[in-house]
Amino acid sequence: MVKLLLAVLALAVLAVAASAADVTEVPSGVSTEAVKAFKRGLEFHAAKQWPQAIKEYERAVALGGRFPEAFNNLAYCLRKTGQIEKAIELYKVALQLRPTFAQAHDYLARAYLAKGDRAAALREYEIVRRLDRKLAHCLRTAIDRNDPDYNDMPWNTGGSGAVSSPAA
Amino acid sequence: MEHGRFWRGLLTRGVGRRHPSGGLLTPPRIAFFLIRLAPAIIFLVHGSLKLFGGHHDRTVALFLTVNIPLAEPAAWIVGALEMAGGLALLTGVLMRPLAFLLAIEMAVAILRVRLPQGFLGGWEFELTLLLICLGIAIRPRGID
Repeated sequence: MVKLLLAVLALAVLAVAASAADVTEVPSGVSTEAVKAFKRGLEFHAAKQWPQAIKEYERAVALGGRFPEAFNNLAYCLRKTGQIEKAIELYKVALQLRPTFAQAHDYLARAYLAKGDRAAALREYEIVRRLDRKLAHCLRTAIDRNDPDYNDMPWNTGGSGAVSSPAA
Repeated sequence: MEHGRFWRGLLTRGVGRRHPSGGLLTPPRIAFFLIRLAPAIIFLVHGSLKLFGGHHDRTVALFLTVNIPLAEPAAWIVGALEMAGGLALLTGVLMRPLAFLLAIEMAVAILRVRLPQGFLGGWEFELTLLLICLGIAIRPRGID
């Protein structure tokens, strides 16, 4: 009986360990309407139509509540329209909601770089390096070139197909 | 015979301690073991992932993000604590002090990481672990 219980326990630990290693990044508790607005924002985003994308992402944030992808992408579009400080604040919100959000760290580093704060960009790089090495490689090149826009949409340019796209 | 007794003891009351009420597989002991088993499995899995399963870098990234000092050694320490704590909850050895340390860890996790994420899908899980571990740490004598 005891041996059986211990065997079941060992199997349970192995099963949970295997499933825990497969971490997904799907936001939980986000409304369908927010996801729809987010997806519309993504279309404008990919087309680099920043004002329209901002409008949709703002709607997604308002409807979605705790929706890190929406905060992240909204901040990205704001950075592209020159609103760096506001973008940094929104990246920080995204990271409060999901502290291991590699892309938000990457974009925050680029926002710091755009602001001229290379030290803060390197701090974020150290985090990205531990979360996503391919993304970190792109970011490091951008920091070395002092070009925040360098390869900052790798999921859309064909520059590095392995880099994760904004979650949909 | 001795081998079987050792495992029964491990299951019900930890190694090397005798229970005043005598019996080994009594309903209260089995019930308490099941309560310990839940956090034991969780901490063993998470601790092993941090130490051996490739989650160390992720943990360091998390600690750097929420400004935990000395993120690199802190990640190793937390992984070791979770492994040791999981084993303690499973075996009953050093259960009180390690359960108390795990409760502190969960309190820090709630305050530094989970609070902005809200209760549902946020700090509910850490709160559950905190309360179970705290309950185990401060339980009256005779419950083991």
